[in-house]
Amino acid sequence: MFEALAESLRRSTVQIFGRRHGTGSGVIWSTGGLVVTNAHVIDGRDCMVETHDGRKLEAVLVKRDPRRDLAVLRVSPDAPWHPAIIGDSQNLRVGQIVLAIGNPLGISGAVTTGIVHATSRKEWVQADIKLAPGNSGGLLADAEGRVIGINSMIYMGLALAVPSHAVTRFLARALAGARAA
Amino acid sequence: MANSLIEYSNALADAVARGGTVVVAVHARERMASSGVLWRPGVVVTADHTIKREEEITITLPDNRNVPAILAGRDPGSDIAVLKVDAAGASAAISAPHSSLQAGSMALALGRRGENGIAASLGVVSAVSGPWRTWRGGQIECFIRPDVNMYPGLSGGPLIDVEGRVLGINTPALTRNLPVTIPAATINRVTDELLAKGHIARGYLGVGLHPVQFPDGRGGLIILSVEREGPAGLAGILIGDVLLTLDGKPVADTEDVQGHLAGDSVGKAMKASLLRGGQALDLTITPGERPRGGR
Repeated sequence: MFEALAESLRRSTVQIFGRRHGTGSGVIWSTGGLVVTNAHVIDGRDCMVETHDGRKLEAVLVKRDPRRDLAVLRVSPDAPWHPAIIGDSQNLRVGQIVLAIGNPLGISGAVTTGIVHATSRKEWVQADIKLAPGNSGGLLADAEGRVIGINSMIYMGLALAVPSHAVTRFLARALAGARAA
Repeated sequence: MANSLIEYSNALADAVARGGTVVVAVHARERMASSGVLWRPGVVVTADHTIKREEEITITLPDNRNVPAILAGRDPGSDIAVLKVDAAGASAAISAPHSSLQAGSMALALGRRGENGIAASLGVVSAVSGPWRTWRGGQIECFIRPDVNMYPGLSGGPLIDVEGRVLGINTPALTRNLPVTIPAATINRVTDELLAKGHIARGYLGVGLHPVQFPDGRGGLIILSVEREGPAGLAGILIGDVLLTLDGKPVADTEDVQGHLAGDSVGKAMKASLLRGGQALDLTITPGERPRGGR
């Protein structure tokens, strides 16, 4: 029942080779070539991004915020490029369905499903969903396929994602800074 | 398909919202609060093992009011504790009919974390079977195993169906590793008795027993110790007797004996068949009420 949604979200998910060991996930955020991921997925300034259909692209780090565990990369996309649709992470309901797409343990485009666990902490989307380390930087989406968070960590079995509205704020700051520099 | 997924998502969120109107946070231990259910007007039920202090207990109601609670009674045997609260205006749980319990049914575990609102995890009813007795001697009407993640703070909270109706309360303390759901029928019975008496009466005989097997394959229980003033002692049972039947039913292990010692056994005479020095002997024993605090 999640097939169509998973397929379209997979197109907006990339695998990131940003560290010497292991890989993470990233989300295609804009038509302009921006990719959002976790800060802890990226070691240096440059990395490789692999799209769902296996194209490898060079990426440049635009901004990294270890405190919020967010990073934004820029690539120059060649042909098909599918930015995610960004949802509203500030009006979530406990119990609503969520999907995560990522590359846990090297399996690309893996989908897991669950629900919003609680809305008690503004700084995180807390989800009752199974994640593994390679999900880091990947998307958490609602039942309409809109991205509501970036999966960042697993705490006592619970998935914690940076809410998409926090990502939007981070991007506004990062891009303003990038232009000024 | 996309639309049905959205409907399904909304239905689950609605179920949580509906079920959440009877879920409270129970502050009766250090660090994280546990959860409880407004079972009846002014009555909260929670998992007994989460009650670490008997005084100064407070409850966070679904509307975020914090109110004091009085411990009305606790039954470690079934891991149920009952609290009384002044919760005017709060609703009370609607429990699902027994027939709706089926392995494979979708279910949600709910909890409340202080004033931070409701928490939920999704899964299914994993297994349903008949009555069972816990390792602490409590009688449970029906075995329900939920397949849900029991995150910290969810203990004592309800398992609900997708209509938002309460199936029972969840506890990880009655079985090893995995949680079980204490069914509504057990909660109703135990709550009635705790509100009336403050504790759950259990029968006792005042003997120490060990299983033995005769060469012909029959089993029995040899008496290893007798409390002189206990029910068995007063009935004339001696060390070395072998208990064969109670109320005409064979007893081969201590579990069988426990089955004869429910709360309603107290004060009701029963026939005991024994062997003493190879000779059959019938005695009448009247179970007493187990002293509180003892086992």
